[in-house]
Amino acid sequence: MTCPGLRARFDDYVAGRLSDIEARALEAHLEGCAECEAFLESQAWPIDAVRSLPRAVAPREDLWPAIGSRLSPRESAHRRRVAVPRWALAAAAVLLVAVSSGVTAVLIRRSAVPSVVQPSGSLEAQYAAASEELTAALEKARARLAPETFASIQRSLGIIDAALDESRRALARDPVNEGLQLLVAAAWRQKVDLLRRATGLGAES
Amino acid sequence: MSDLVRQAQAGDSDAFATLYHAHVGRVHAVCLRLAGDAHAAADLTQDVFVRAWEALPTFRGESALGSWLHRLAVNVFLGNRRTTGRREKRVFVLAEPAVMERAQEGGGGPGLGMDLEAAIAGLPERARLVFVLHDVEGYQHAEIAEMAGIATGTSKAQLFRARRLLREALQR
Repeated sequence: MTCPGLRARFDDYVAGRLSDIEARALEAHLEGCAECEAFLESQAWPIDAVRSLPRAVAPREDLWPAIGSRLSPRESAHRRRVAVPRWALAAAAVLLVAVSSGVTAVLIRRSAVPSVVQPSGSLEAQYAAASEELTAALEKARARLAPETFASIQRSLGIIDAALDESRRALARDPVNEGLQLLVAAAWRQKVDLLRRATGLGAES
Repeated sequence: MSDLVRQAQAGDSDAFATLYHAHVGRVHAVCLRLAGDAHAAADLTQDVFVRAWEALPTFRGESALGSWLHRLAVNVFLGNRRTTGRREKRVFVLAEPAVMERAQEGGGGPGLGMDLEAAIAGLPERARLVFVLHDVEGYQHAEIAEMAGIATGTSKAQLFRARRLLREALQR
């Protein structure tokens, strides 16, 4: 997208009238165009009102009773916590990111022969349902996990989710790309596998 | 690092309760503006402090506890957002001021302040996220992009979109 193009289409972007492709093109242009950024920055907006927003806002009711009931005691001799080397949980996620980013780029550039592997919608729905169920199970098992282990699991899930988002966005732009379909499926498998293993860790203690 | 933090790190829940009451307003404010909904903000605030209790042993005092909690609140919100896979396509309407919480500190006049809070709550989700993090909380686009998993160009575009929508809402 060019500078005149951005300025002509920005109203449509604000209103949400651009297609995904047009919106991404506008955003990509803004990433590298200081002039357009300065142009948009120069437009008036209620900056003084924002600066006067209160820094703190009290909740309507005291949340402490609910919070206090959810706090797990610090590790004691009566409860064995499961601590797992972080690399064991993060290795699969890091590998996926390293592979998927490069593979996604290659698959986007390659002229894929249109083909249908499997309806991605049904497969995704299955993985999403499994992921949701396991996430709920992990939440229940959290009290039995060492805090640093749980934190590591969450970070790994974040990495996988980022890879999954990237692959899905690419697939949305090229839905018949078989390689991208496989990549999305692989990311989902990684996520479900990690959740399954993490949930199993919580059950072991 | 204060004695109160050390006590809470050692497992003293009363000490942690004191820390909660000292910081809940600030944490809740960012939760409220990110979530755009009072009920979701209350749930999110609870999640933040439960997560803070679990992660507190890792806090080394390199930053102020308030800053640490603030960053944790943003991460918990983004993590919950990814986990639940919610992608709200919010029609931009001016939310009822009644859904917003009473502010602890006034400023800018109650009328304009409440209108702006409601207008922020009515923003499309991604625009609201970037606006709150950048213009209200002071994060840079590179940080927002990294935390939210978006491109910096997207962060910039959504910020300008949010500002335009807010300007239009407040002019009505």
